[in-house]
Amino acid sequence: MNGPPLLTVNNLTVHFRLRRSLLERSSVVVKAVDGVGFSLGTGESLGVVGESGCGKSTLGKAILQLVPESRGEVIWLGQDLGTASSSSLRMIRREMQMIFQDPLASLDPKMTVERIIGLPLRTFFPGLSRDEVRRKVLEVMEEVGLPRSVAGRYPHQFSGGQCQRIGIARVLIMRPKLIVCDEPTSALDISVQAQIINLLLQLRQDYQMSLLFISHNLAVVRHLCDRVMVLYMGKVVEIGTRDAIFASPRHPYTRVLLNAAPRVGNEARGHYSRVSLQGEPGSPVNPPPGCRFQGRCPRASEICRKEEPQLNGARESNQVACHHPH
Amino acid sequence: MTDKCADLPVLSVKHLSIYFGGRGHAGLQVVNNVSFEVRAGEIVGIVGESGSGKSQILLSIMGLLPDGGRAAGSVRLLGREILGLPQSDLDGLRGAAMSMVFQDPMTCLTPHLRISRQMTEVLVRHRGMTERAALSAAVRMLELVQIPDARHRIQFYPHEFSGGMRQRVMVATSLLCRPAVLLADEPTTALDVTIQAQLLKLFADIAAEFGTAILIVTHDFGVVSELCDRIVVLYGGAVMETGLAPDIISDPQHPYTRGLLAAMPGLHQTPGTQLFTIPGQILPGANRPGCPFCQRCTDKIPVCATERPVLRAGSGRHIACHVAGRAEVVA
Repeated sequence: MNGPPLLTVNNLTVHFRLRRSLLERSSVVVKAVDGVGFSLGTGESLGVVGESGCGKSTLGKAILQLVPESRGEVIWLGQDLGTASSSSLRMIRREMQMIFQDPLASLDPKMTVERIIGLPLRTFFPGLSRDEVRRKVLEVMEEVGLPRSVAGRYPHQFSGGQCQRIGIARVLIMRPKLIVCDEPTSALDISVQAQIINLLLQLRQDYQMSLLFISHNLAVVRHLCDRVMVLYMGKVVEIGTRDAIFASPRHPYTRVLLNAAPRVGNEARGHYSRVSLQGEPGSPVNPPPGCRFQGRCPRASEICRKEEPQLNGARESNQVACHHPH
Repeated sequence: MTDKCADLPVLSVKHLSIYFGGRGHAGLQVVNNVSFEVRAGEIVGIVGESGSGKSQILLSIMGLLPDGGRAAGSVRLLGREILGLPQSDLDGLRGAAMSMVFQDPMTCLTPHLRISRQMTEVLVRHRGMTERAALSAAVRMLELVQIPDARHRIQFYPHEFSGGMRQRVMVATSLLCRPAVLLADEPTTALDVTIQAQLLKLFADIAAEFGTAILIVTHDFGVVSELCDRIVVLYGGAVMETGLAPDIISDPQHPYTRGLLAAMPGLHQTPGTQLFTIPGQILPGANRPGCPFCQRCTDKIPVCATERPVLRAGSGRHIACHVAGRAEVVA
């Protein structure tokens, strides 16, 4: 990594207040993201994995400053976004973009493809002429593999994979430095998923774009990401290089996740019988004291119930927050 | 039951075709001449992408095709023809001899009724049990699918369970009458991997313990690899390749099966390299002449565009392709 990182996140915390019921006055706090920190270099891609409810989507939105409840530091090229003026935040937003899981739902059904893809340009560069916008739209459509002839069509006329391409084109037209991808291939068929993965790989290579890739699909993360961060109930339990995480995971939860993922091949049959993990993630409303994974952890001991483990940077390849790492 | 009976398939689907709109053989055909069998204790996976007709096959077996859908061919459950039975007869079978679980449990659980009521209703209606006996049977079934504190939780409403537990509640409900056949449409797709693993184990246990025949629809070769004895690969409403799951996964021969497996990121691929992709996209309808996969196939020869390949035997499987496995036929 050369120079300062593109993005540094320190102690990012999102606590939502929920009222238990309409009648009750008391509220509870959901610790969706709790003290997350990492950094991301230019051209690097970081995978964020974990079960539903672990806070991975909230993390992505909080980085883009879309969650008012968030606390902590998000530093973009040396500038703290929390204290940035709204005009400089607006400038920075051009450089950090997001694509979503449900490609159709994220596109305005009443706009043509050309308007959808051109909208960010018209918003951020109102001085551009109509022809210039059109030229750039067609250029970017070609890059993501959409034929020019479909520019006048509406989102509902496209398949899921094509809609995801439209979503990527809309993001790409700003030439962002960072794309936050929230489960971008989860709703797609296998053959279409491969096309979108290839497109993202190509774009990374061509434009040195950084990716924050949120997914529950470990195989996709392994294929696309240089580093992987594992979240459990709003906390980073392990973060490291792809090879370290997949070849020698240290946190018991990372091991469970890797073991539980169904694999293809004949050695796979009956693997599920090895999965020892019972139960489901606890509630982020009332996290247990000590380590949040202790209730499901095969290695839990006395200290895990008392003391919360901190992320340990002893090894550069993968840092782990565990009292009894592998 | 004699040995002869045990050999009979529990579910036998023959020459099943499904049409939407129009009359007779007009309208859009979504499933074309599909045949397969499921035996007691066996788990068969139907694999295909969206638009392959895989869900419509399950719905037609249950007699639940949406309005405008028509099925032709034969579906035999325990030797009895059930395709086209009147709804009143099907009501006696659904939930009793065959039952179905869905991707989204809320499509079959009623949000405003307690689980106890929803589960006991099945037993009272199909088995004529008393409420009391039905309740204790329902609690036992919840315990079997590992719902902790089942006696207490059976009084919950569906929204009080997490997604994974709701899925297990649905599986428990579908198993109450010990159906001969359990149909499952993408039952684990919406779940986290750890919960998915628990559910897959549950399916395997059910098939082994009760001898339930399980037909599972999925797009996930990982699920198939771990769970299924045999698979049926579907494309454009027709069977492309079918046989023992380990055979097909280790040595896919149909160009479509090969393409699908190669397109999946996995341990055999070098990270960061371009994945294999199947060119083009799925076209709707299953009644074009020629092979349904023809437009996207990289191995096609002229006859593929004009003549529909028939399923034929080849190296431990059946395959519908003019090109794949030709050498063996000649030999």
